[in-house]
Amino acid sequence: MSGELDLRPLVPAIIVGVTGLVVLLAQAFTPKDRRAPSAPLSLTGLLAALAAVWLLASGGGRGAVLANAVSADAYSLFFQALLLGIAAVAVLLSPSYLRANGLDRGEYYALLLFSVVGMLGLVSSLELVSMFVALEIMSIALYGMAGLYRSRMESQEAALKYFVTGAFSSAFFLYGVALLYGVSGSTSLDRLEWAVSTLTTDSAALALLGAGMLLVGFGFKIASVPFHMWAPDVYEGAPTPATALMSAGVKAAAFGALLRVFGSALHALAGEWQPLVASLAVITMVVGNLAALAQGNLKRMLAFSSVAHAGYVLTALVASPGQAGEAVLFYLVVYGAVNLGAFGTIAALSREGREPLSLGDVAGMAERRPALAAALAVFLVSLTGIPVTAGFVGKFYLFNAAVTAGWVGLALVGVLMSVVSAYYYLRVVVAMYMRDPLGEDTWARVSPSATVALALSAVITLVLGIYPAPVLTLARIAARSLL
Amino acid sequence: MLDDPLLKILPFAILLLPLGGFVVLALFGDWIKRDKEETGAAWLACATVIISFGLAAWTTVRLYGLVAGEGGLRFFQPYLGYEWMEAGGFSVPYSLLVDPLSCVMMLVVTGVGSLIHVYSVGYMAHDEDRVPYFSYLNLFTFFMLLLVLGGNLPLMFVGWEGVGLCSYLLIGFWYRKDSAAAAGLKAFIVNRIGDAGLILGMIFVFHAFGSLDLVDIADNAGSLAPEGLWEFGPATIAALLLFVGATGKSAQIPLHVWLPDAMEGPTPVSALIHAATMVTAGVYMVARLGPLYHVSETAMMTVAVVGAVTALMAATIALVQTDIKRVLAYSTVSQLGYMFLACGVGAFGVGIFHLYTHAFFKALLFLGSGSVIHAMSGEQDMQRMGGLRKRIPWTFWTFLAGTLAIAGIPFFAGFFSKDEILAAALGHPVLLGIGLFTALLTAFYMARLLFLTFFGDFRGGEEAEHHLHESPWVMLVPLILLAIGSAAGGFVKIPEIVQPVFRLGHGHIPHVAWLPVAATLSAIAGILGAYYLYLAMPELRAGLASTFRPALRVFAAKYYWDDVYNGFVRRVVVRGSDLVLWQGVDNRVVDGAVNRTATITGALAEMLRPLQTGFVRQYALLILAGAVALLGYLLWP
Repeated sequence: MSGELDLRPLVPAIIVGVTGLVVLLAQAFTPKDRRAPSAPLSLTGLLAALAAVWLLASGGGRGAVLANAVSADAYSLFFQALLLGIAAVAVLLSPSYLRANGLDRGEYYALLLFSVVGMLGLVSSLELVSMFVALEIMSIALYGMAGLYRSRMESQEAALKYFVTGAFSSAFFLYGVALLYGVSGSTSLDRLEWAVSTLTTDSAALALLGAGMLLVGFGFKIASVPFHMWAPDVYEGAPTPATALMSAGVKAAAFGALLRVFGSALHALAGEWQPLVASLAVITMVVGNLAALAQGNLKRMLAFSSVAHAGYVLTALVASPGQAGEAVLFYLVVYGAVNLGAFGTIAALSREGREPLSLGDVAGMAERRPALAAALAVFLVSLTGIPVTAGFVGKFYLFNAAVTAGWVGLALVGVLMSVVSAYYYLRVVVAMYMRDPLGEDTWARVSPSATVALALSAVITLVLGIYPAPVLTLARIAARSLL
Repeated sequence: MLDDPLLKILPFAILLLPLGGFVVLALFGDWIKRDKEETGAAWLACATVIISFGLAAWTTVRLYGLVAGEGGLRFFQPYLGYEWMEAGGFSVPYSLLVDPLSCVMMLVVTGVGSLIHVYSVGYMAHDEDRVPYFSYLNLFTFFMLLLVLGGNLPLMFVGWEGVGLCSYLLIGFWYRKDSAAAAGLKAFIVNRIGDAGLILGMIFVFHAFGSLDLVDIADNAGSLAPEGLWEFGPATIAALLLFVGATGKSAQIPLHVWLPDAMEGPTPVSALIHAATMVTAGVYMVARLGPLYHVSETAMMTVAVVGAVTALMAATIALVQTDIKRVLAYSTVSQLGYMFLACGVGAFGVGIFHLYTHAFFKALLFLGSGSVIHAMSGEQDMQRMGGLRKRIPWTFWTFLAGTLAIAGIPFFAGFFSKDEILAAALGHPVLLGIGLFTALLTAFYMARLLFLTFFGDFRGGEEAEHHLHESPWVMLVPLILLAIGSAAGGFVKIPEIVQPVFRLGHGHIPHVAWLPVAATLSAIAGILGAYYLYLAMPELRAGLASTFRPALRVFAAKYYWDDVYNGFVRRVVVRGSDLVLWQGVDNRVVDGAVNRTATITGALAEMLRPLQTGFVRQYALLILAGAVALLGYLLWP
């Protein structure tokens, strides 16, 4: 270990964290009758952090490691860029929504930024304790965001449920860390990898127990069945842009850490945990899709869809780390863009505390808001996995990874469940394009910043569907850090 | 051989013209609509497809300027210079494949497509949504061309999904009719099942060949070990999964149920998409992967049997339909079955031959029926027609040509292709028997349609009779051109032209002299039967109907497929999802256990504080149970 501390891997997180503090201070020093510039500040901070990631990636910073615990390898940088992009889009979606719902306070942005700090740490940790700390930084900020809608009962309830069950699952995670420490005498992933490859029968049981505990913790964050119960409540109760951040960002960050731990450190035990991940994938896909079928509320439908998508991503984890990494990383980019777009569309239309939540609310949307309806249709088609959208390419890679690893049945379930999913995604499109509007168009005009956010998501969804090669190449390079 | 610069550009131009038409119409449609005649948009759409046809013909000519490769095959793969998807050892380039098979297909698509575009100018003249209609039609043409020109399976699949999407849009085109929207949705859902098979099949093909390139697959299929009946090796699994996709798109058992309902769309759409082009995509794909299918005896047998059974079943259903378009729809399903029968017995070229002749006569019959419907002011029930022969003579004479062609009367196009199919099936007596019997049924139901519509007395009432009128020339010219194709198209030796594509040698089919005679006799028997029952001695019908009542009831119920599927979907998959879909404009419609729990919780929450419901405890309990199961599995010795 070198004598001096190399802080470069932490720079993006530090920028975001400081921005969070600045947002809070700006709020405190803004006169009551004026509005604090929280959103522009947050956006600036996120973009500055993105620039820092860029500098790390292009300059000499790549591969820098802080105290053997936080790294700026290609894998971290890929995820950090993705997470910062997701957060920036979520910020763009926020101002109009918060104003429409009387939530326009600086704490929202500060919490958002703090949760991003946690996500950034989660994907760049090389060590289980810092990973846990990052996980908690992220989670605690998110508990706050889920309960921000104080006037709404669901929001309060969701935050409390999220907090209680979240704490419960964190305990599993921590216990897993402790057991793995018992196996390797270290919390470092490197040491763990070495220890796991030289296991005796007794310590094998300990290692497996630890791995299982970690899987429960991660399973909660990615909302895999049976650890998914919080997701629909929280997604429904939280302010919609925060929901977008949770579904896109939290999932990406948690999968980033999960893949690093299981794909690389615990890969020697793959024979043991892969069947388990495969069964989690199957029940997650089945339960998520069937539950989504039964939903009449769009936000709940998208919440279960997000559960189902966790299942699709899990299918790829049975492949070799390189192939799994490439497929998962690419899919998380696609999924981020699509989910920000889908939740963002709902948020953008929100007005006076209401947002379009039923099929009736979006009926005939294609006549009144052709561009918006087209964008939402693109997102839903991509979620279904139909070509020319990124969702198809992404799913193709996920299922291809599973088949290559010999898990044909797993891919079969994935494809069949995608067929089922067409039904519930499509009925929204049907309502928008083939139903007559039910009443007056009382929804908000889409604000310029939300327009930028939605257009960006739609363009990414289409471009990655037609020309995914650049992102795939990046994903492949990033996944190589796992090997 | 590869230095013909035009061949590198022409195929992309063929593809991009209709796409350009779509983009222009989608962006500037409202502006174009402003001209007085309001046909600018329509003619723009026609022009792109007609020019595409010209370029396709030119491409075909240039292709034959190339030096032939092994087995007399000439082909060319224009490459755009980009990859679509790329990963270690796996790449999907943006490349096309131009060979005799894709030339035949693109000539059919653009040729018949042009005529149908022109016909639509007249047919849609009074519809206010013409601009979106023509833009979808152009978009469809683009995707269909991509399907037949795509140089690898994923690119073909993009076209495959794209035509499905357009078909869905065009079926639901008159979306103010609920039945049209429902039919569009049904087509989409059924096709998703097929597409799932296709995706899985693709994955298996990749793992068998290490490539998804169509030329690689065709070249390397011969080196796979042959797989006998009931032997499920990689080729069989891949071929069968891909065939699931084909049954979806080409409306074969068990996924045929969407096509008849698709007739809710405008008639030219039925002609283009649901008769001449899109529904034949499955046949194209099976033929395109012919070398792969040929490896697996199981797959070939499945294709042949499914094709033959579908041909027979659909023909019997067509016997009892009274809606003119539904007769033609079932007839299409039946003829597609013939094509699969040909492929299944190894005569892929013959399957394509029938696809080609069918494109002429079935497009003609649909457009003719459109002309009839136009004359009848929208009436589609044949029981209200009759005697139209004198009132709309051009339509009648062209329709007659189409009927004779589909019935297989000698020297019309359908005679040649059907005869070749039956000859190819000579080695399989049961399949041959089904083929011959279906030929008789085909002649019967088509003659019945002809007699009910054009002969006898008019049964539609005075008001309707007053409105009867011949269609305008923009609709008649396509009919006449298609009639010429239906009469003379069979003289082009399509099987010989496309045979090298399949890498199976000459594929010479032995002919026996009695077969054409038998086929012709069965066609004539069918026509005579219809003549006696519907013109000469209609009083015989009642007696026959009571004799065959049980059978007719099954035919009329379409063999209960829809009922079984509906029951399955309603009871097993999602009870009441229909409700959410079609009446689900109300947020409170509660479906499924999940929502119900949420509602109950909502009610409880008013009485108790949220934490006291025990709900959170329930979540935690589930997490615990999951964790115990998970750890239990890991530690199980």
